[in-house]
Amino acid sequence: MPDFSLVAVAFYNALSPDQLFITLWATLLGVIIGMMPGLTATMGLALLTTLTFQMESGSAITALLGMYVGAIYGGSRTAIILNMPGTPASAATTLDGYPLARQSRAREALGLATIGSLFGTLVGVLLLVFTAPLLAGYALKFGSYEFFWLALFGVVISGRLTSMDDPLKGWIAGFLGLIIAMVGQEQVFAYARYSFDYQPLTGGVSLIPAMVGAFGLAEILSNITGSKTPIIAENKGRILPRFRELLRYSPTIGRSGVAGTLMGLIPGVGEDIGAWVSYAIAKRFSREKEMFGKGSKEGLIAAETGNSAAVPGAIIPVLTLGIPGSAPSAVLLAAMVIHGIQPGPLIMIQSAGMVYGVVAAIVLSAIAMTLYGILLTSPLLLVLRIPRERLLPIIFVLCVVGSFAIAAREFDVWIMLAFGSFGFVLRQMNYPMAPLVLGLVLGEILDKSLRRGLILSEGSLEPFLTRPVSAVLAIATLASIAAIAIAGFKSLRPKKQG
Amino acid sequence: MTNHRLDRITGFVFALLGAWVAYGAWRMPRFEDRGAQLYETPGFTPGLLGCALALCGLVLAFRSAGPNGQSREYWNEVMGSSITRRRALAAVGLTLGYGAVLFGSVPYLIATFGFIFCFIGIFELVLTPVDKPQRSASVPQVLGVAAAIALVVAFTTQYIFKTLFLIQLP
Repeated sequence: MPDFSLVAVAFYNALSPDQLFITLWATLLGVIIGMMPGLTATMGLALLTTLTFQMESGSAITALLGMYVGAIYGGSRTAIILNMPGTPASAATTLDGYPLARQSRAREALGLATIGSLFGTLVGVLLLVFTAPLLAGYALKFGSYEFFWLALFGVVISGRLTSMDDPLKGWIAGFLGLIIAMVGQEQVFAYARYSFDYQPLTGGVSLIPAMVGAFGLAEILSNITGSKTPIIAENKGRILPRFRELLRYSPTIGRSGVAGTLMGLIPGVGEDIGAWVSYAIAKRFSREKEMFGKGSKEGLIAAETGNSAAVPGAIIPVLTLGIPGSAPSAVLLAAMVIHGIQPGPLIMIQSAGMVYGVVAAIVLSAIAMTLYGILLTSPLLLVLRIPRERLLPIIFVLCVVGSFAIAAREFDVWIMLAFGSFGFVLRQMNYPMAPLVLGLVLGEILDKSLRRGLILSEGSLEPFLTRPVSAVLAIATLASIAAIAIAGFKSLRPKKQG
Repeated sequence: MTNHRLDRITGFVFALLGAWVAYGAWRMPRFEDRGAQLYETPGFTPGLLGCALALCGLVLAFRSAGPNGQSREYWNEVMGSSITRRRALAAVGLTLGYGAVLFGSVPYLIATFGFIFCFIGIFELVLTPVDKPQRSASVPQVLGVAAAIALVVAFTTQYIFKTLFLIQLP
C-alpha cells in the first residue's frame, strides 16, 4: 500500500511557490513544443535536460515532468487544428479531431481533448501510486536472469509495436541501439570495446546527445525537407464539454485510462501505442462505431485519454525497474541518473519520497495543462503561425549548444550530428527511433545481466528459462520473435505468378 | 528507386555492419590468462548482437516485396522532386556546417548569427515550399527579420549558457 503521509508531504512540497513556478513554465513550454509539428516530447525532454542539469535534482525532475505531460498533451492541438499530429502520440487524435474541426467544432474538440488528457493522466497517476510500491517490492526478487529478459523483451516488443507494418525494421533499429551501447568500457574487465584507441569513445556514446540527435536534428531535417505548408482549420465554438457529455463518456475514459497506462508500462511501447490501443478498444465497445473516423467525440476522448495515461504508465517501470516505458521516459531515466537519482527496485526503500514527488509533479502539471488548454486556446494557437523556416534553426542551435553543455566537449556535438543525420536517413525508410533509443538505454543492462547471469550459473542457460518471471518473459519475447520470423521466412519464398 | 530495392540495399549494409561487429567482437581479448570463460569475455554480448543484426539484415535483403514494395515513397520523400532534394541538401549542409565546422572553430556569436541568418534567408527567399511560391515580404524585410532573429538568439543563448550555466562556449 502507498504511504499516504508521504503523498501528502510530496504535494505540500510541490505546491511551494518555486516548485509551482517551475511546473507552470515547464508545462507551458511542453504544450508549445508538443504543438509544433516535428518537435516531439522526447526532443523537448532531451533539450530541457541540457538546460536543467545545473538545477537542484528535485526541481529539474519537476521541470522535465512538466515538459513530458505538456508535450504529450500539446500534440493534440495540432492534430485537431492542422490534421497533423504535433507528436507521434497524437496520431490517433487526428482521426476524429480534425473531422470535428472541419465541422466548425474545433473548440469543442480541443476542450474534449483537454478533459480527456486530464482524466487520462489522473487514472495513470492513481495506478502509479498503487502499483509502484507493489512492482518495486516484487522487483527486489529479480536477478540478472530477469533483468536480461526484461531488457531484451523491451527492445523486441518496442520494435514490434512501434513498427507494426514492418517489425523487422523496428528490431534492426533496436539491435543498432544495443550495439551502439556496447561502445566504450565494459564492466567486467574494463576493456574499451570498439573505441579504436580514440579516447572520447572509451567512455561510450553519451545518451543525451544521441537522443537530441535522433529526435532533434532528425526531426528538423525531416520537417524542413517537406515542401508543403500546413492548412489551419477554423477555431470557433464552445470549449468546455458539458457535464452530461462527460458522464456519458466516463466508461470510455476509464477503459482508455487503464489501457493507456498498461501500454505505458510495457517497456519501450509508450504513448502513441497507448492512444491507438485505447482508440481501438473504445471503437469495439462503442454504440456509435460508424462515427469513428468521421468526427466521433468518443474516439477523440479515447485517443487523448490513452496517450496521457501512458505518461504515468511509462514512468512506473522507470522508477521501479530502471527500464523506460517509452522514448521520452528513456530521456527522463537518463536525466534522473545525471541528477544522481538511481531508479530501480530499491527506490521505494531508499527514496520513496521521490516517487511521490513525481506523482505530485505529474498531477500539478496535468492541472496546469488543463488550465492552459481551456484559458489560452487562441493565444497558444498563434504559435502554429510561426514559420518553421524561422523556428527550426533556433531549435538546432539549442541542439548543438545543449549537447556541448553536458560535458563541455565537442565530441558530444559530433555524436548528436551523427545520430541526427543517420536518424534522418532511417526515418525516410520507416525505421522507428524509439527502439534505437531504448536499445541505447538498455544495452548496458542487457550485457551486464547476461554475462553476470552466465557467470552465476557457470555457463548454464537453465535459470534463464526456468525461474518463473524469466520463463514468462522468455516465452513472451521468443513468441513475439517467432511469430514475425515465421511470417518473414514465408515472405522469402518467391510468390507464384498469376 | 523502389522501396523494395532501397530495403534490399540497406539490408546488405546492415548485414555487413552486423558481420563487422561480430568480427570485432571475436577479435577482442578473451582474458584466458585470468581464467575467463567464453561467456565472460568482453566480446560475448556484442558478438551475439552483431550476429542478430546480420541475420535481420539478410532477411531484409532477401525477402520478397511487401504491399508497398513497388512504391517509391521512401525515395520520393527527399529525392523525388528538385525542391525537396535541394531543401534536404541545404538543410544537411547548413546544419552539419554549423555543428561540425563553425561551432568550435569560429567564435560562438559569429557562427550562430551566420547560421541562423543564412538558414532563414535561404529557406525563405530561395528554397520556398512549392505551395507557397509568392513571398508576402520583400527581400530586405526577410533579411532584416533574419538578422534580428539571429542576433537575439546568438546573444540570448550565449547569456543563458555562459552567464547563467557558467559554460565556456567555444
